[in-house]
Amino acid sequence: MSEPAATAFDERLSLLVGSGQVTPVARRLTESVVVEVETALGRALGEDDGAPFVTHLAMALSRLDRGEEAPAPSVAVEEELRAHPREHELMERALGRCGDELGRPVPATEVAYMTMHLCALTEG
Amino acid sequence: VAETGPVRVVVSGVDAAGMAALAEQAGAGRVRAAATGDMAGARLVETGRADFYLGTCWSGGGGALAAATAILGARRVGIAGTPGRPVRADRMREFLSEGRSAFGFPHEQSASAIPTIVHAILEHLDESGRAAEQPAG
Repeated sequence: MSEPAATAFDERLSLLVGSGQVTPVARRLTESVVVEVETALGRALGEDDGAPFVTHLAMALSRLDRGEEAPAPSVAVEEELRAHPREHELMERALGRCGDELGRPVPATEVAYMTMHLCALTEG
Repeated sequence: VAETGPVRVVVSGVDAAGMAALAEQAGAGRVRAAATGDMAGARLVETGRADFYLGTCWSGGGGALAAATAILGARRVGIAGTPGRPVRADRMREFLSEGRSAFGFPHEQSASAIPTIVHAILEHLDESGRAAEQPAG
């Protein structure tokens, strides 16, 4: 993955890295996924709409980087996923690349939660 | 927490405006709630301009409290609920007695979690002698 440019989420990601919740590697991967999602959506994300997506993504990738467990699955989220195959595919692809780089597969639960955050962006 | 007046709650996350309305409803006139961004909300608590922070995300344990943890510190936040583990009044009492003021839970639990949290906050304040504003009428 190429080095992403500075994003609207620099302050947020610096805060999360500074507090030890997000790893530097997870931050870099998060910024790469943000660029990929922005390209797919055809618009830039900002704090107003993209903050939950970016925060969950950075936390999820940090869990993966540290080898920590994924959050428990949600029945409601799993049901909602079926209505959003395109968003799910996009997140599987983007997170799959992150998993390759981290040397661990991204758990399906993390892909599911990230898909929900992506849906919030695509549905406004 | 201010000595008098409504309890000031900031709410952040999925459907923050709807959750703020739920918090005010559960507070029955004793709670004033506002939807904010997570960093802004946590900073309002940090600077004493809000009393409590409620955060949701889809899982309840990560994004809901990440900014609050960074700004307020881990000792002031509590994961109140996660999928499959609903918010409970006894856990909330424990969190409040420990001085925690930011609570996270999954969005899907909002309808039950918010009344549980708000009632626990009000009970805690009543027991600690705070002269919270009573509802009008």
